Amino acid sequence: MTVNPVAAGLLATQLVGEPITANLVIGLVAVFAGIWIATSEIRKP
Amino acid sequence: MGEWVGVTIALVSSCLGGSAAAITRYLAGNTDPITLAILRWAIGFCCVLPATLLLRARWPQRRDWPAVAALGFCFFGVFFVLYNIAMSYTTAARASLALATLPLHTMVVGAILGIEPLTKRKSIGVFVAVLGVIAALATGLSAAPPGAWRGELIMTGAVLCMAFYNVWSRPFIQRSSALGFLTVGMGTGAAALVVVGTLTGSVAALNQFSTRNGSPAFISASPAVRSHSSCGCWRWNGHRRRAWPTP
Repeated sequence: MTVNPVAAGLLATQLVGEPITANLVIGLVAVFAGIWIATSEIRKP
Repeated sequence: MGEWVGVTIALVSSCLGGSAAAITRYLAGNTDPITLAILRWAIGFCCVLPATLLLRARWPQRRDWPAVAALGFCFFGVFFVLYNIAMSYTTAARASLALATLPLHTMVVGAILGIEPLTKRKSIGVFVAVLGVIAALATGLSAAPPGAWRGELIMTGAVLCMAFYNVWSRPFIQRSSALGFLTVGMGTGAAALVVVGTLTGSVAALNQFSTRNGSPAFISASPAVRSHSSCGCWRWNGHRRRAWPTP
């Protein structure tokens, strides 16, 4: 799912001239981190 | 199927989904959301139906048809009309960022419906992602198109709609097949959109669509939207048959 906004942003810059801003990249990192935290498990020794 | 093949298919599908978002944004300014949804799912259904028949995919049981049709209406009808409306207000990247929280919304809906509990770790993940998305969208609002917040709010509603679809559809896919479930749902959604479109004039607008949007960009864009519509949904449904609908 986190690849989706990257592809959307890259194609939208070419197709409709919409810029990819730094805060969007930060938001994407937050989504990636959130999904990683939620789906990964802490390994017990 | 090897793990890398699965990951590659998932990446290609996500890229097609992102490309479809940008193309929808490109078309949204000139086309009403119902016309766009009819075009997407009527063509998608025409691609999926022959595949279901040729592969002899297992159809949903007769007693499941009303529920499968209702889910199809919610996803292929309601979700995509909301999606197209959202795309007319905000940028493709901002709308896709809101959409990227879908796995976490699905977890929350799953917990609300009592299917899988929301653990402490999952709650932290949902909190981090939602806070990050809200912060990213709020801080960039000044550079966004006027009224972009409406599009992001509508997209959040659409994401919730899809999260319920993800959770509720799983037992029906397990009792039939990903392709059979997809075909019935997509067919119902497309038929409902055509009925609504006939009443609202969106079907009549299709006649002028090829001349108004007959640019090379539209012609090249259409296969990407179609391939994502059909293959992406098939892959998504197939994944949900085996696993919890997170990424």
